[in-house]
Amino acid sequence: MLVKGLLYCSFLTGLLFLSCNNPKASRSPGFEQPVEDSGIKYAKRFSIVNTGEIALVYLFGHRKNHDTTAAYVLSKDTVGLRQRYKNYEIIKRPCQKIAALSSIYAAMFCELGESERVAAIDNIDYINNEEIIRKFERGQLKELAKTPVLDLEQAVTLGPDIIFTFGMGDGLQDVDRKLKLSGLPVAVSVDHLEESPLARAEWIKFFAAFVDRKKEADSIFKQVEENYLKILKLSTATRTKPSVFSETKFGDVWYMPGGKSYVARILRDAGAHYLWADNNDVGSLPLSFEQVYAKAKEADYWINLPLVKSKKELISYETRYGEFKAYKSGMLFNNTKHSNSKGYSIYWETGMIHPERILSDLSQIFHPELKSQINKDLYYYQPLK
Amino acid sequence: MSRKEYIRIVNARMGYKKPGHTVDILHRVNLSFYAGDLVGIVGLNGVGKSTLLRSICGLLPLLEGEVVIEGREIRELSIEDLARKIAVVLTEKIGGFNLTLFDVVAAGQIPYTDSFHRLTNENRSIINSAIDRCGIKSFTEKPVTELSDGLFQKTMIAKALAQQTPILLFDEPSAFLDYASKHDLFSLLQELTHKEGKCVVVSSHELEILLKYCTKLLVISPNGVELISREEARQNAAFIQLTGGFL
Amino acid sequence: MKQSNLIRFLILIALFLIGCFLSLMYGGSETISWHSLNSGNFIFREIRFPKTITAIVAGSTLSVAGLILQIIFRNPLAGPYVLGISSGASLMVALGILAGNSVFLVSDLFIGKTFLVLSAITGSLLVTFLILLVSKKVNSNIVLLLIGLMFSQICGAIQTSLEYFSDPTSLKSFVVWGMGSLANTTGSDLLIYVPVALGSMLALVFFMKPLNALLLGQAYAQGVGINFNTNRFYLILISSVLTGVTTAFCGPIAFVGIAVPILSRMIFSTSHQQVHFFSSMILGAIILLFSDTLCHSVVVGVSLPINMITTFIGAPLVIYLMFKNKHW
Repeated sequence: MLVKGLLYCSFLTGLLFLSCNNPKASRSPGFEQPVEDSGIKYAKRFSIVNTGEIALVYLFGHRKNHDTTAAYVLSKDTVGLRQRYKNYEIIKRPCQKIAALSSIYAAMFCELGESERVAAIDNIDYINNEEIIRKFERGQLKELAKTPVLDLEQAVTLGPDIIFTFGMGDGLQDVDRKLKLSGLPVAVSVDHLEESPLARAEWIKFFAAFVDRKKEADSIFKQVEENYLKILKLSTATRTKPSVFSETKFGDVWYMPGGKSYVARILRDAGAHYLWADNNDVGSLPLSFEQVYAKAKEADYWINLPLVKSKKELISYETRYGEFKAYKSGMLFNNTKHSNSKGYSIYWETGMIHPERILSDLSQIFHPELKSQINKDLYYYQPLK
Repeated sequence: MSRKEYIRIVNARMGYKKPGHTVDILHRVNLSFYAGDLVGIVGLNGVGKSTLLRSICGLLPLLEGEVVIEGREIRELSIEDLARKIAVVLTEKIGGFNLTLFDVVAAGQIPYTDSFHRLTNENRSIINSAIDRCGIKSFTEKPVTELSDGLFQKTMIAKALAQQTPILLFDEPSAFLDYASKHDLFSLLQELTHKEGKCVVVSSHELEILLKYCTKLLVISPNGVELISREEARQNAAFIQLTGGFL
Repeated sequence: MKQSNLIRFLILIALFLIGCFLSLMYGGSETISWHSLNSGNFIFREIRFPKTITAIVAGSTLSVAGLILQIIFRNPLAGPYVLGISSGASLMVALGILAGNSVFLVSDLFIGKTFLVLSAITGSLLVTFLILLVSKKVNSNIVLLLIGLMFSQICGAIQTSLEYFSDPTSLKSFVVWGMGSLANTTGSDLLIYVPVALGSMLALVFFMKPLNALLLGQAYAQGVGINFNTNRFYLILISSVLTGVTTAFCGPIAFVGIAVPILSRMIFSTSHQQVHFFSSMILGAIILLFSDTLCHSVVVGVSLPINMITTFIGAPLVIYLMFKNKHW
């Protein structure tokens, strides 16, 4: 029960991630103007300027106006940098002790082959990565946010070189007031504010900068990009666009991803007709059962049913779910193929880094005819039995 | 009459203000009470006995007219001054919050204590003698909530005594008392008026007792208010009607 | 003061000091060693110390507010939380945070904080007066409690609908605040919090006599020369400031306000409110100090919400009193 509650919590936090966005860039004073061409192709929320040994990393974390909310100077040798970079956070890289307060960030470092540098995570219940779990079992990993509140005392004692946490897109406001007082370097990641799957995936370059792994990140992202675009080409060429909807009720409210959300975008890319695609929201739409039923009762597919393991379980929550055509025809797909013992799917962990896997899964689900061309097993998704 | 006039009521209209209208209970009341008076208020339930008492002590503002206490209009007197002139015992119940009999009687000394209500030896001796006079000394430390109705009534009377006022008002003080206690109470009131020259106004349904102890009777009937001497009572039509002919 | 009471007070003071020590040394996930107790220790200086001070101030303000409310309503089951006064304060803060500029309000700006405090005080005042209005129509302690419950439900409902329509940023800052916590106050917060709390407590010292007289009810209080309405107004003002300021900084904290004055009357069998004033202050501080320590030690590695502990202490006490129907 407790686990379920925690998962709901994280699910709600996930909802918060889908927030609105207005890509008109402006820059706060106090920082040097970042050079626009910094090798970042899709992501709009960070930029990196490499000058020799030094990397300047900028975060444009303000939800509404893309203001610069933080800037970092990363270098092997930090001596003398303070004078030149007054408002920057100066960080010696590669960081030895990293606090990654989201399973996504921990996964980033595992992907880069730097899992050993992760010294703290938020909560082991949300982790699927073997290396991280083993490290935790060896007692080499701290949990800093077992509850919704950061354990500041443990964080201070650990003294990490950098803390990666997520913000709601409110810039400095996003950092806990006391954490700010402690002087620990914090990077408030706003990867969830990116609009396209590739932009989110590109954030691996951001994390790589802190461990000096530019080359690896570039090659990982290049691979992702190529695969994504390849599948995108196939799926956009399909003629039928099956209709699809997502999520289940949470309490009385059915939080449907908005028409401009990440989920909506990846559904479009997978060649589906998302029933709420016309909507202009980036976040979630709070809908009632009626509203969803009216629009989606004849929908072909139903995906992303949080925490549901079987059709029987689904029906046990709400018998009316059985009235949907997708339920009757068995076109229910959930992103829970690989979940840890607490029911937490790896979709949430590596899906952001590998949108090509999501796209591959969904394209094959919506267009079985593409199976032979894509020729990959489903990675995150499985039919709900 | 040489005795001092303690209470004068002039052309008073008494009653309650309610949103939008007033509820008149008593009209054109003109009365005077003097030192040494023991006045018994009689009348049927709801006729206005409590209203009169509450109006005299300022708990209920007059709708018209004035009440003069020892020569000063009641509205000119501060609430603290008034508390040193008039003590009241009402029918209300109080208790809880660890209040003991002693605490309640000690409240009578509130007008005379410092801003923390700390009791000096003088305060204490006044309180204790009030307790003594009401014959409740053995219950001093008992919580008031645990007192019988009779003992509670006596406690409130002791509180009024401890207030050391020239005027005392009682609203049906004998209601819960047993036979002997009723007589004890009224002899105490008699002592207060006759020996100490206080002015006591007391409402009650106990007509026989009132006839025995009171110097004057205030008969309230739907026709109005009539102040008569004890001797006049048996000839008074309104009073006779109250007795139902049984007295 | 009676000698037995003096001993009781000494015991309370000892418990208070133990509570301070426990909260400072064990009120967190990390162990603090003696030799690290210098000003350079961030955990001690910026986390433990403000939290301990907050526990003391929050405990005593809420308890004294509860004491005042119980006397004003002459109801031993009154308190800022159960009467919905904390919820009123929360609602106003929610309005402030959600409708206003949250960056401005939650950051360390003095004006923002002051605004937050003032809205919380306004909220508690509004609810107190509403309850007062209603309480004239009812003469049962339990009914009053139910009405208070309804008030807090109403405030909660308005709050929920506000949250429903708010953007995620404001929602997050409000949800975290709404859970009730002693750990969010920084040193600069204390510069507002402590003076306001101390000031109101000092003001209350001038109302000791009325507080004693109000025990007798309106008529008798007037009868002994205490202006009931005026004094009640000021007392409500003080209790609202006490509740409001604490709610502004700590969120709604459950059951301390109702339980502590009751405990105080159980420990000190006197009706002198100056005794209960001081003992409620100390007892309230003790309870929150120990609750804070418990928060961090019940489950290893997890700090429980403070309201969980205070509810476990307070709610059974209220139920017990309802069954006993005793006039504490």
